[in-house]
Amino acid sequence: MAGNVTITYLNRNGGGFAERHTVPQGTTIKQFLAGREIDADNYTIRIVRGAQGGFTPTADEVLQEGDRLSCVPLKIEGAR
Amino acid sequence: MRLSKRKLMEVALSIRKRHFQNLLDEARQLRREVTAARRSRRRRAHLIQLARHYSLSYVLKKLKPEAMTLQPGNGGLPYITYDHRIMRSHLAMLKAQCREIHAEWKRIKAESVKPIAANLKTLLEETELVKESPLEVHWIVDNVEFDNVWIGDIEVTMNLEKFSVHAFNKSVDTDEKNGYQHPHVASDGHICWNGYDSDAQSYHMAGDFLAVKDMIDNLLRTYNPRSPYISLEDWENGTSTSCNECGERYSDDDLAYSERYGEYLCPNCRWLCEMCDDYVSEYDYDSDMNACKRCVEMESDICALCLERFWRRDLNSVEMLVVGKMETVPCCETCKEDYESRQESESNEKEENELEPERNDHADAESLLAPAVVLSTDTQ
Repeated sequence: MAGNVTITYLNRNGGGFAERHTVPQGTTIKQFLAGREIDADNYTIRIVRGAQGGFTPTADEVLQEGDRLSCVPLKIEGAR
Repeated sequence: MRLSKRKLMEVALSIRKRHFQNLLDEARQLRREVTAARRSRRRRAHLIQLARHYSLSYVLKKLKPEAMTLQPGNGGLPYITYDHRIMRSHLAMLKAQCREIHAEWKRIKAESVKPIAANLKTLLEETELVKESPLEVHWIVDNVEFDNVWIGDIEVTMNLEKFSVHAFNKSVDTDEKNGYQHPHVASDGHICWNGYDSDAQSYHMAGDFLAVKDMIDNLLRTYNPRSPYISLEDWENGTSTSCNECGERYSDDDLAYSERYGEYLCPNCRWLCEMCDDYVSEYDYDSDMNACKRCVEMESDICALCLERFWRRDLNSVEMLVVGKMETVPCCETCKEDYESRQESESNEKEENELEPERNDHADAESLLAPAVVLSTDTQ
């Protein structure tokens, strides 16, 4: 689709499957997460991008075709 | 240890293949469950039909609530039971899961292996390769601390071929922590995921190892006070417990619990009651009897003759005159023997005394009665 990019988003919705999202070209991480009510301060955010590998993006990082975005909560309570 | 580019690609391909295989297995399992659910639904419908045909109102009434069905019992008699597979919602959920797996299958088929290889490449940069077969990496979650309680550096090992994660504390002597490696890691290194493992497993299966690593790091840096293996207080002070007598802290192995008195006692403050085999404090211990005061009170008595205390099982009884009345009184073995021999000798003496007059008639009466016949001349 022209003007759009498709990314994979690991959202921890219980099923563990990754979701595909098509977003307008130029969408930043901040914009993407704001739409999902995710506060970046409370998550470990990573992008895995083709040849570049995995990295922690800045809020202004623009999403690219084929990105795999994962948001893992900082507080994960274990048990016994 | 490093992986060559070629090997990295091979591993990425094998992970992708494994992902396909797992999805296939899951889809097969779901199909079996759908078939079983449909069979259960058909069976129930048939049972209701039969019950209607033969006007079995009782059976109809019992089968009326949703998901109730009949099952053959052991003695051949059927019994009414609940079968969740009959629920329409159960079947709908299975179908939705099938659709989800199918969609995932299509998605990963359309994707190249590159994201998995990129994920793996970064993971290998952030961790250290331990083994190539099975592929295993490890890393350190350093300086873990909760509320100013230092937990230490935790070494995590993750198998990339199957979901297997272990964490071990590299900084502290975990023997003092009952072997626990972390408030949420058991002594064998298993992390208690508190339900997060299903997500971690799915990520692992799809080759999203960085997400799994982030989950592990974040879990090990989070303390859940509601359900730790070991509380922060115990982590800091050790798993020792205070002796209820002296208040000193001892390891659990050194303390003994008194069942009867409900307290923990250290080796210096406890005495073993030989009667009830329980430990007691000095206050509750009778050193003369080598037993607890409660046992002494319940199980012992005083010997009526020597006035010493004995266990009831060791006491005998004798019949004796007490304030002009014959009574059975407890007495110890020695006293009983003494008493009985004394009684016997007294009785013999008495018998002998009774025999004396008779003997006087025949024996040397003169010598025996001599003092009696010494009469004064006045009397004569």
